Amino acid sequence: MGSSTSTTDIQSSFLGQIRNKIGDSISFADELAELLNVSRDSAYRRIRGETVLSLDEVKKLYDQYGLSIDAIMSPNSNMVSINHKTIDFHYSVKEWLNSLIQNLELAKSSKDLELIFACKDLPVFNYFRFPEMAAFKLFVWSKSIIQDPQYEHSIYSPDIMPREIMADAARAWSLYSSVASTEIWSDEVVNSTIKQIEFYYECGFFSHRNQVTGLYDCILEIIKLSRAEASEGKKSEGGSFELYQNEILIPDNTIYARIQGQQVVFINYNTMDTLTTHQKSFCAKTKVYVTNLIKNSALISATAEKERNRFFNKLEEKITTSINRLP
Amino acid sequence: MSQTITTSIQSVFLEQVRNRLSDKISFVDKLAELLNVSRDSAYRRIRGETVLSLDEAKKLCDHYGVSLDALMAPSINTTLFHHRAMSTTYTLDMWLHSVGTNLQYISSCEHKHMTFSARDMPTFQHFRLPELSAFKMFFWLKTVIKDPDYSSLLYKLEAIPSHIQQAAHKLWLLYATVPSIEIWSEEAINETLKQIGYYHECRFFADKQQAISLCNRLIDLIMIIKTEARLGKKSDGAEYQLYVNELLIANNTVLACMENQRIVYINYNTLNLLTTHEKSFCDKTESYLNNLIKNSILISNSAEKERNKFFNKMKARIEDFKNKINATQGLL
Repeated sequence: MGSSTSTTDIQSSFLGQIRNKIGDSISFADELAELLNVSRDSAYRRIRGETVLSLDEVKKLYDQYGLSIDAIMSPNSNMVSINHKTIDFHYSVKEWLNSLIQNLELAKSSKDLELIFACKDLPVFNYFRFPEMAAFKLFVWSKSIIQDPQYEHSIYSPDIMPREIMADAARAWSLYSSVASTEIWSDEVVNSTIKQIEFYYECGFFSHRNQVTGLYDCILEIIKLSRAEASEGKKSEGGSFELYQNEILIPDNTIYARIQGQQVVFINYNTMDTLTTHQKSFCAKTKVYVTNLIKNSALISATAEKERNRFFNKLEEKITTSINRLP
Repeated sequence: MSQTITTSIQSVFLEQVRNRLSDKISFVDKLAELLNVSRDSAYRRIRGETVLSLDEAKKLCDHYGVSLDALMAPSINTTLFHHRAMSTTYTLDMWLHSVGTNLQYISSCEHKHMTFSARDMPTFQHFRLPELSAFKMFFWLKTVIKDPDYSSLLYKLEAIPSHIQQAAHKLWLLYATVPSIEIWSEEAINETLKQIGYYHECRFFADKQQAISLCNRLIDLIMIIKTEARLGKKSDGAEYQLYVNELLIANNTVLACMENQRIVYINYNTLNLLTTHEKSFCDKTESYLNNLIKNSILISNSAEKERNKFFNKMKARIEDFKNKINATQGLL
């Protein structure tokens, strides 16, 4: 009992994906034998589908290789298994930054990388270019979204966030800047940060008006740097940068990625949470969506100087309008 | 090849499946039926004497909506969502019908409530006015999903078949029966204005009066909603609370609460709906929405000044936009 060769399609595609992941340099049977603590012969029987993998064995492989089993079992189902990371006291800003860094490092080491951002907001890394701006974004998240009691009575100051968190943010920026990305922006990408600054100013969460104008200067500087990078088609740390201007939709912040042959979609949810899935049909549908969005958008990096300048001028106008509105 | 070691995950997994069964059904019989094995073999799997294969696990997962990933890594929060994405194969018709079935169900419950965090004005609101409704749907078909039937068409109300118009309007009527909280910001009209502007520039309107007229309908709509906010009631009499949020422009997320059940709908990238009943996800969404409300101002039933400021600002923006279109040369 238990041995059957006819009912192991999923087992073979599961093992097949692991084999792809470990590459040719290591003998797959040896690797499997070692991980499952069985003989080489038994490992072969599992590969050939003569022995059924137990769920405990599946778990060992899952822990080692992190492949989504739901995605392998139901690549085309309407049921999508989505990993949900919530930022709260248990999963803090620090861990959130670390997971960003890990993903970026993985992307950076991948030979065959495709990374497409459909942006409602400027990719957050851009704000990490300047410490006072990084501190502001991290402070707003901690105080107003996570509602970390530590910041309940705090007001903003550039050194409000712990030093190691600031260092992580800077690291996330430099990694992002070294990775190739295609990005779709609309002229709404700075709206939510402007709103946050205005809101904090009205609430009296700044100690001095200078801090506000300082932050606006940072955003203007970020826009200026992005304009130059778009013109070059390259980010400052060397990652190529393809920028499209989207005029039709305000997408939810969505990242479609193909990293080491594996597709993954990240959706930003409730401001700071991330929904992640590897499921094939979901990834494929997202790819179609971003591709359609690109078709409706104008390429403004490395070409279309006039369109590019009009676009960045519009972003700058939004900032100056908000500065002029400051009481 | 019978293995006698009890596999611990297998028993946890089967326990989860058993929990989804109603008490009246025998677990062994159901297992035997689903896996197409004898009653005896089913018992051996339950006792852990026979190893459950991944293919067998899949049959159970599909049938009962259990996630194996969640089982493998309980510390990682994995949630199963039902996904509906409008496309050239999953048509607008099917999408409207499916959302209609959901709303029908919610509406039929005795105790019901929806909290709508709306980055864009809740879609159902557009479905109140035929012109706006037709424009939104035309835009989705022609521009977002790129339905070939619409590729060479210019916008006109009649381009959307009347049964589809009716199905959309029915969604509004159903939604109007459900007591709701909506949380908006003044950005809620941005996307629709962008789309009108885009069609105007692409000359997808036969003449610019169509663009102007859509702007006027949008003003009509926000004025209707303003009145409902003042009364704290939707057209059907259901309770209506409107909050303004200035800090966060959120996703489009809906939490529906019925007698013993909660459902989260995430409407992402316009035409995608992710749906889940899962408790921990519903809990998190509920606490996020409560936090959002704490950061918002209630402008229905009270706060007349704030309410007027909010709606006037949007109205002024639409008027402004209309003037820009009017100022463009010629008929187009």
